[in-house]
Amino acid sequence: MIKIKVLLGFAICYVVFNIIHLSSQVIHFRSWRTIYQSILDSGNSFFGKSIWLIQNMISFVTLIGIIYVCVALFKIIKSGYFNIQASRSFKIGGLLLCFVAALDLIRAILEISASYQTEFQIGYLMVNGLLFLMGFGILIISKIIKNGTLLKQESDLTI
Amino acid sequence: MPIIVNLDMMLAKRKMKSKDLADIIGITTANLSILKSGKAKAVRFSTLEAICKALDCQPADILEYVEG
Repeated sequence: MIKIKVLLGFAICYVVFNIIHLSSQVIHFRSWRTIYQSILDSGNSFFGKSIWLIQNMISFVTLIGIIYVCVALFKIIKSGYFNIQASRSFKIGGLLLCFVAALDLIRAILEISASYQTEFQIGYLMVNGLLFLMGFGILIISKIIKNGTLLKQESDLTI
Repeated sequence: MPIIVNLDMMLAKRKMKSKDLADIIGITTANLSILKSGKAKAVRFSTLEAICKALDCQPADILEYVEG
């Protein structure tokens, strides 16, 4: 259970940093817009100015996915490894991470195919591939927990 | 579930309380209640053996199959 607690600690740190990052973008909207504008001016993007919104939406959905994973880890600490609520939270978190990674992979492929910032996009491909694998792994963990919960229930109801 | 547990009937026949049976066979009253209410998913042979021994009966006296 210590490993789960450590993982939860890291995940909470990630969520806090991500919230600070996203809220700073909202509060200092203009200055962040300038930074993105300079990126756009230097390399351009397939999506034009809307890349700012797309990147932030992707960050936001990733944040929601990680929050669901945090909730699942918290439920495991609270009620043990096999409980259906943890399985449900892991499933939603995994699906969100897979979805966001697939979306960003498509975005990066479109940017590469249009020859925009090819070196950056190859890096994005690797990171999103890893995020997709992570999301898929979480989905599998959710399935394992669900099956384990059924087995535990049967074992508990065997007199 | 088409398997009916007639433990209540056997307890009444033997004039034995649930708590006494639970103590004899070594299970908790909560588990015996699960067994009596038909919520149990399975019964161990060792538990069935203990119940039959305590109530001096056959497994068929406790378990019954009802189609439906």
